[in-house]
Amino acid sequence: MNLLAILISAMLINNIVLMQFLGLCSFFGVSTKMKSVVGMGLAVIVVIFLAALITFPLYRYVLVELNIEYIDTIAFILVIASLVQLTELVIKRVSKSLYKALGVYLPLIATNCAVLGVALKNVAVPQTYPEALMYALGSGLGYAFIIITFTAIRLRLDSANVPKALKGMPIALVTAGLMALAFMGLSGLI
Amino acid sequence: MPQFLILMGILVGIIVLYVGTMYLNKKVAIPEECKTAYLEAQSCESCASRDGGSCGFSDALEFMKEVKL
Repeated sequence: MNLLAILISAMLINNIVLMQFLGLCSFFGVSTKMKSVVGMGLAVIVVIFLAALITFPLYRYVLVELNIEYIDTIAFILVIASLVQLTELVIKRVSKSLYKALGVYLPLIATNCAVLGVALKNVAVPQTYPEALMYALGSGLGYAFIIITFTAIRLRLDSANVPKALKGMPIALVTAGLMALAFMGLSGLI
Repeated sequence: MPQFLILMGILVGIIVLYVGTMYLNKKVAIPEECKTAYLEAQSCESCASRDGGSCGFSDALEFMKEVKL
């Protein structure tokens, strides 16, 4: 039950995009085509989960044991960047269709602060490894859910009669703000 | 002193890991049929720094003149 609560909390209540304002560059940049967004969402889920799989034990069993936990940010940046390169390499070799759907977005995720943010938050609070993995999975799913929903709204806004001064990014920002307000209503869910 | 050496060792190790994976990844070419999708995903549009959602400073000025802001 606890793991399920963490999953739902990370996905909906403490959503990384709308509540923690992480990964906003790709959130606004990619959310123009539904096809791109689905690929990006899947890539983010995979990378955030893999990053948590590696960074949590690296912090607990290497950095803390050696009393050098203060280098966590730089270590995580490099580990995540390496992980993204390695994942891209493997997908490129193994499956061309998977690479086309998901792998092409991996270089964008290497610099996505949502991945680093989740890795750092995971080690900042005392929790177990399964809890950390569940939080990472929930965060990735939350990102994918929000970016897909946001894209659907943006696509509908393209055909709406929006005032000229608000067209494009301004109305997108207003929409994201309203979505954040709506998601604040879920704060009492758990 | 040993603490400093451990720190440097770990940092150098991670940097070598990053450079190594980057080198290996660069060596593997992007599949021919994925090149269009790759370029599309990597364009400036993807990061909202160009025409995709926002515009450059000069474009913004032109727009402001146009709508008399």
